[in-house]
Amino acid sequence: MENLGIAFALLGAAFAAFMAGIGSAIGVGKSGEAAAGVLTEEPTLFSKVLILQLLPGTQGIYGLLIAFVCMSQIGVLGGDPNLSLAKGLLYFAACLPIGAVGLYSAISQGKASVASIGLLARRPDQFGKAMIIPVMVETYAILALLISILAISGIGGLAL
Amino acid sequence: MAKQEYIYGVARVRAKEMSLLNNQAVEQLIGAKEEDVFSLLADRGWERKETAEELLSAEREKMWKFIEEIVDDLSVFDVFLYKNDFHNLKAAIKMICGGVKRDRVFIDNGPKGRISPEKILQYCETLNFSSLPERMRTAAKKAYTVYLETSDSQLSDMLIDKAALEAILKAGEASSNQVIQDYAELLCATSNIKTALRCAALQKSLSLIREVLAPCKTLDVESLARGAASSVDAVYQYLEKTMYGQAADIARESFSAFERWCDDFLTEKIRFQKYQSFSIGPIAAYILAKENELKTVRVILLCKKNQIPEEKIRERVRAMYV
Repeated sequence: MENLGIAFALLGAAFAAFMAGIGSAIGVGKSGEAAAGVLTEEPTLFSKVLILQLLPGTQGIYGLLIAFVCMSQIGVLGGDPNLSLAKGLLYFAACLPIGAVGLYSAISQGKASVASIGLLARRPDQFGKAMIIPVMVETYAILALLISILAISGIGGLAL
Repeated sequence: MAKQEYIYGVARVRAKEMSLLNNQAVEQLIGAKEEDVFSLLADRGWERKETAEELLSAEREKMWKFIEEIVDDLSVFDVFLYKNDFHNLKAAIKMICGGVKRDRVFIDNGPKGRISPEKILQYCETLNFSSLPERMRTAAKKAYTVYLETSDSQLSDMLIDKAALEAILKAGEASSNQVIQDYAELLCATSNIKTALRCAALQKSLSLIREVLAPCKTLDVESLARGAASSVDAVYQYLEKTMYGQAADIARESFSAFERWCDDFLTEKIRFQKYQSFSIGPIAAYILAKENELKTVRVILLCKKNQIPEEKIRERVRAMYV
């Protein structure tokens, strides 16, 4: 029972990396299908299409970042891994925003990227507009990332 | 089960749509000389061919090869492919009962049907109708018997056409896609209207008209049949009460104007597919848009060959999808 704190904290880190990573894999996969379709007909659009395909990949990076910061704070990567149950649960809660929002926002951003790749295929000169549309979804992943970082940083100073 | 997505295929269609003829390109073709039409089309990626038929056939074949590349299972497009099977069935029955030569009567290139023409011919020759797909069996037997007993090839064709429409409508209803459903319903309704007008002009009996009209959702075929048995005007009067009221006014002008209205109506219905990215709809819309383009090029080439003035050609060309 005395090790439950570290167990919950690590579970939180795993959740952040796992969920955001799944979301990004689905999002990049969907936009990759669309990218391959357009490039079959129009190989000259490679650089523009690649940027649109990679947009849903950022959530996976955010999840990885939060998992890394969390593991470093709880002492898994070196230091003292002894955590109270309360602190462990707090770390777990701090990882939830980027895990859940990362999953859904990456999938949604993937869909928006697919639509934008279609737009680019019809109007290659409208790359700027085609990119802004899926980037809008990124806002919510960044907000979740911010909350997760602030919470993880704050938990360390609490006397629990 | 998760709904199947066609992301790769739709993306290829998006890029491919750019090579479809738009209204300006059609205007350019109308203004060109007959021989220049071939060159202008070649500049847009069409093959260089000697005759209009060769050109259109090659382009249709190319389109279906492209569709085969992007869609694993072509059965989703049964609504487009069934008509080729039934066309081949009509040809086979004419060959057997009417002694028509085999040369170029079958559709066996490009948009293939779901069963090979050779098999259709073989089953009809051996009177082995039960080996035909279920949707064709009854109509094949009936059309064959009618042709042999009455030598009325037109009635035989009409019976097969009705079976084709019923099969297309059933395939449309089985599809979850709105474009395919709309296409099947519209094709069935407009074919019924054309048949009713033809029967009215030829003063066919009510029982025969009932026999050749295929039931559909947007028309009451009984009322249409009664109208057709009465007069052409009675058909128009019935149509005015339906969603095809505008078509009745146009059909009064000319039959070709009515056919153009049917194509334009369908093009208008599929236009919103330009904004879809995941479903089969944009691919179905591309097939319809390409068929519409081929019809337009055929009209232009035919008119050019017969030295019809540009103004008259403009009246006959269809609205373009892109």
